[in-house]
Amino acid sequence: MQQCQKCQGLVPETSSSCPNCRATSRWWKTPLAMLGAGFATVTLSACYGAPCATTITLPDGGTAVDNPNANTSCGSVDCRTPELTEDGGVNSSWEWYCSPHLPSKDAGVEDGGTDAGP
Amino acid sequence: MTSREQLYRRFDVRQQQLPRYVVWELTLACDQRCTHCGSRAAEARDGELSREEALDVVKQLAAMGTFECALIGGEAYLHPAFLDVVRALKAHGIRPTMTSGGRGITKALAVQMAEAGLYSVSISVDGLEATHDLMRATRGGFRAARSALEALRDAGVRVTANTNFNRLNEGDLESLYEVLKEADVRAWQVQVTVPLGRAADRPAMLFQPWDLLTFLPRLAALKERAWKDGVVVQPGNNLGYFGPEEMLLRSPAPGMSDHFQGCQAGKQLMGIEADGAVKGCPSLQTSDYVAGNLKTESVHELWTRPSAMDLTRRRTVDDLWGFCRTCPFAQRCLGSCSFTAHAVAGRPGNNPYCHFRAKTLAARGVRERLVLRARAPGQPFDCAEFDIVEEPIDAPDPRPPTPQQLLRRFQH
Repeated sequence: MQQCQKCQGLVPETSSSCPNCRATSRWWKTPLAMLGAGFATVTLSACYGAPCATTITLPDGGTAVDNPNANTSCGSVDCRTPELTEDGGVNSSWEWYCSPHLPSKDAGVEDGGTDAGP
Repeated sequence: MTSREQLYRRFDVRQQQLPRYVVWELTLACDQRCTHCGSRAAEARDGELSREEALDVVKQLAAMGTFECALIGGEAYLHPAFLDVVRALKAHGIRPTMTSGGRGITKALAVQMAEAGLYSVSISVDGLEATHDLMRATRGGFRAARSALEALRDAGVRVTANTNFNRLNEGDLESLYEVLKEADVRAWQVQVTVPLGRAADRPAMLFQPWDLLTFLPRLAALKERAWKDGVVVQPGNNLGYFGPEEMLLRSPAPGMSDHFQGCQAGKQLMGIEADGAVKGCPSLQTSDYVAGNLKTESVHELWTRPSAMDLTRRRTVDDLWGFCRTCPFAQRCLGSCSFTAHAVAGRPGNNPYCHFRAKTLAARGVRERLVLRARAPGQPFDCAEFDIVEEPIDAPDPRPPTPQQLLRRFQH
């Protein structure tokens, strides 16, 4: 998908003109955020609830903030030590936040990349 | 320090489909009788899951890799095992959240909810005081919702808000934002009221598709303003799609490029009704989309065997119809929200509640109007039947005036 700089609408790969404003391809640009995307994403809690910020300690000791725009804090997750449940399994929340940063087949790149740029 | 840039709380759309996000109607018992309630919540369902059955479901969800479980109702806090379920979810590593009208959330209950480990609560606020109380058919409902927000916040629970917009309350959009901001709400989920359940009994309340031509740009402008205030205004899955403001509306932070990715029912999302019935999305029509029941099958069986859970898993453009079939965004959108399309068009794959569609038709000088053909039978998550009539864009609006329009006429 590209973005039309004239109307800000999205343009599918198969379109010859912007579906929203009819502008031609000279107006189109791939958004920077799409160029860097390793996999397609949709917002969490799309139907119910809403996001808040989580501080993630990465395996190399660095930190990242999940949804930093939200002023509401969700607490923190440390990817250096797996969090276990009472049953001895890995905590789903921990897995959710940390799996993209761990050297595993689930690290993201192979997950589709449908939004990746050229 | 890592050079990795900021991350955002979004679903990875992975090949592996798991019930990562579960919405669980713990009970249909409710302390309000909202005029737009899709599940017609009032009394508990026959055969609602017991404490033991519910706690067993929690274990099964954990085994399936569920990340977050939103407890809804009715009012989830009216289920006798509400706090036990919250504790169990937390103990099994599943994030417990809740969506509530908040009428019964006292300071004491808020403290209990916090102690049980409830992660966040989204309070439903349907407009300014007069509109909210009208839609919720509860005098004092608005004040109760405000009190709930305050009690939860004081107890240390993260608070957010959600609103269903329609003809009755669309005039409150910007003013309600200010009220919620003042109440320290930092995330606001916005959806459109769909003719499901009691809302299907009140077609005059509903948006007509052409109302999106003005509502979506207003919402986009508000979202930009909200970002500057540190508030996230996020559209629900039934609001969109692919108008000029798509990326702005769908992205949780400035500079991001999210867009609608198609209905996730049965892909990453699962809904549970209070009696154990399971659907791909909690809002899907019970009559058509129940995959099975947790009293007789496990979550794993219901998720993996062929059933109504497959609704969106194999959907392609070939399954779409009407305008959506030929839409340039068809491959990405795949007919948008399934329960919304079913509610207005009789089956998924063609949804007139779409900004791009309304805009495209308006450019041709026409618009679509939903005309009630048959009333809903009166069951939870049921539908009326509508005809989609195409008419000139400047045809008279046959809908009765809203209370706000009447007031405006009176004032002038």
